[in-house]
Amino acid sequence: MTDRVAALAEFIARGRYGIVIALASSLTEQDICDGLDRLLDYATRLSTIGRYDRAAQLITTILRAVDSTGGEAIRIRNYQAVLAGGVGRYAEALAMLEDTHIDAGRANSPLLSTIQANLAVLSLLAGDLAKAQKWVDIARDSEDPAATVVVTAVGTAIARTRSDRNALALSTSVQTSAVLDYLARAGDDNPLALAGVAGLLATEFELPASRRSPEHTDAVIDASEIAVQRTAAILGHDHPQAVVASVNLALAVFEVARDEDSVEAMRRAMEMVHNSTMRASRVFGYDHPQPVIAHSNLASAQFELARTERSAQAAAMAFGQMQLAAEQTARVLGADHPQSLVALSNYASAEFELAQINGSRDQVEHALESLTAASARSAAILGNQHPSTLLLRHEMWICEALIADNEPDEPGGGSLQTKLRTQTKSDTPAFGDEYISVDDAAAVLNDNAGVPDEPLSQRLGPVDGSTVNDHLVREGDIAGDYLARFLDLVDYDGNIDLDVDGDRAVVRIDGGDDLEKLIGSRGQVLEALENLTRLAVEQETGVRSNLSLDIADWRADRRIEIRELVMDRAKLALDTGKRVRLWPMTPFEREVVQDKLAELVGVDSEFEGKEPLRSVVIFPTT
Amino acid sequence: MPEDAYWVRLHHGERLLGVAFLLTRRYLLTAEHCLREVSDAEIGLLVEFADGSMNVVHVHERLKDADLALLRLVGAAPVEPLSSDRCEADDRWRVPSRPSMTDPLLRGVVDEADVAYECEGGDVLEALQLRTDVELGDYSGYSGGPVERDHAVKRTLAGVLLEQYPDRQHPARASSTLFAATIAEVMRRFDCFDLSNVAKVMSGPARKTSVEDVLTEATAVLETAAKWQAQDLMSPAEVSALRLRVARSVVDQTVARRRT
Repeated sequence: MTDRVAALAEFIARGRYGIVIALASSLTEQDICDGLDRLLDYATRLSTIGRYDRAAQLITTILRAVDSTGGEAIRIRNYQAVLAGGVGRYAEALAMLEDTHIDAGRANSPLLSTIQANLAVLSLLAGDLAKAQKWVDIARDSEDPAATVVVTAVGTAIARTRSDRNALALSTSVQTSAVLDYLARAGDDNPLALAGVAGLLATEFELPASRRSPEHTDAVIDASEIAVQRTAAILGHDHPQAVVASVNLALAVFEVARDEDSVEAMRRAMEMVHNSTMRASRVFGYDHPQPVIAHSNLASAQFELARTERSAQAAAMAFGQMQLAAEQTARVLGADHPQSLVALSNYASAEFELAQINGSRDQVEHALESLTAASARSAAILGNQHPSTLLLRHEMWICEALIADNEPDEPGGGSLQTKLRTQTKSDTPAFGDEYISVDDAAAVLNDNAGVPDEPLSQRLGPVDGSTVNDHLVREGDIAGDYLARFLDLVDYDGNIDLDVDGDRAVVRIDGGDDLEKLIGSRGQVLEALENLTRLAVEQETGVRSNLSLDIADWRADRRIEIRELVMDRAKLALDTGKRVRLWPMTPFEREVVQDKLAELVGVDSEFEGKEPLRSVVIFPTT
Repeated sequence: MPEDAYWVRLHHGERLLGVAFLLTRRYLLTAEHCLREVSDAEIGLLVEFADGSMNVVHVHERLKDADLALLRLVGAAPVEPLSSDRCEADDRWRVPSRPSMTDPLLRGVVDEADVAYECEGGDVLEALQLRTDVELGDYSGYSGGPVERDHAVKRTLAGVLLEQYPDRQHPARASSTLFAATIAEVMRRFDCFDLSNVAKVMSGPARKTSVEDVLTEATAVLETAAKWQAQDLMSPAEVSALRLRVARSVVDQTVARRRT
């Protein structure tokens, strides 16, 4: 290393980038030739710490010192483009590399295949599918195994984006051969081999065939997990490859949880999606395309989780995030990038879904505008027959029908949701004109099975007072059915009365001779039965239930007794100034005590002991 | 998820064998010597997670010479593993597991991030050479535990604690130097982590075994469609179109199966 290169290294280490560039311009051709790899390494480091502009200046300076069309210059220019692509400047990188490709062709450079493969990747990342396909076709017959791995991966990604099933099956097969061939040559620790296998697994997960068998899906997830851990162990936790692989894995785990309709698994997976997205932001920077796309996926996943949890509040928050994501992707990637289209389509569909739930004409009209915009863009980018375009058009059609049916001059316009339910399920846009396998048809039908029996308002949960009440009425109905079956089973007589009191469903059983046995000592059997009924309701609705059960008015009577007791003990505490401990109570009894104490002034309480000996202690506040 | 949830206590009947930790949601890693008294076919091994839940594990592979053992959970773990990483010299490290709550947590500085270490069994491993902040003398209860790279803002998984460096001059006295196999080394040692094995999953999903299965599924689809038509959820034209597609698919799949 020459003195000047050493000095440059020292200034880089000290963060004196202005001096670095000035010093770089004084490097001689000999300095550069001797320390080229080291200088390129410095450029990479500068870019990694967020100083891409300085890195680009350094490379430009280096390029001035070498023959601009010679082999070394081609290598450096390729490197420069890769660096620009690494920080998400895809268009800039493409422009650089296209020029380099011409010179490389003229010079018959051994890097020609590598440059073509990089052009294919950059075109794909820039969202130009046609150009990416062009470079894939040009580089298809390359004899460079590394370039072949990259090019076949791009071919698969294009087929996936275009939703071209035949092309996807073919390109996946070619990609698999290329990766395995490269793996045999380069070994398991090679970064491209690691990326190749991780890419294969991501594709395998998305193949429709692989989704049909839960065992295979599990196996793909397991294999992806190994690939992610191996990549991070070899390349480091913050290596871009490790980060991207972890984002893909988290999304795959979330999709599996969603398909299983398991709220708990979805929540766990959501934590993974969230963590990997934050990691991507930290490693790439917030404005880099990768975390921008990851944030868009995170917002969609949050919306799906909210839907499954039937949480209107969470859905509204996720919807806000989706709006931000749609704006962010369009700003960073360009409005016509396929990923921007995904974000926009998801946003429009979410708005449509929320409009359906709320039944607001204004919202439906606004959703129609969003869907129209997304549909037009989808047709322009992906084509008229692409499933995404068809789906958006289908949703537009429903919106239009809703608006038409909800004209003010039409009496009984409140039928919006009923009509919607019928219309939604009477159309089968996914079948379209394309071939469909039995498995896929079964999957579509199974996905929708059961939905017609459930009002749409319950897919997302209560959003206003009236739907809250609807939900509680439904809870009561389910609980009533469950308890009726239970009474039949134990052969007890009893009348079941359903009601809603404030924010909870109330179920009462009375009129039977044997009901005392269902109360038990101090209401313990009643308490257990209430818990079982809540579980039965939760199983049916997916929402935690807080319903109240009473048998033969035992609780109503008990409530009166306890309130009187609390009055008495509170007075004692105030009179004596001492702490008064009540006997151990059940959760229901303690709740009654707390409710009564809240009405009194000058006393407070706390709990002592553990179940079943947990009790309330009343004490004066002064 | 609490960050310490990914490591477990390993039980054999009533006996506590040591510590293991999740590498993936299926596989756990420990030091092989923790399993010395356990046969390969042992079925009574249990792992206890931080929340008290117990899972059955099988010995998947043991590498005596490298003092590494891989366990496979029956089912998936209820928690996520910690993300792997590689250490640099001078990084801070910590071991979150300890023999008992009264024992101190081990932590210190990475002396060397990539040393060739000949372990007691004879194999040479890519290892981390670790210096402890606190000198305990005997670290045996800690082996098999995870070594974390202790960043300011995050923790990542860097190795598995194997052995302490013997004090050559005073064999009776332990030094404050420990060795851990890197996770990269672990990945290289076990066949199931080879990328070529991992990629075998690409062979595709299990195919249906018989034409009868295809027909059964097709019938189910058509029955569902008929039900939906009765409920006015699908129009007769749509059902007819679906029938045609199902029939075509049945023929295609039947021919494909006969060929194979």
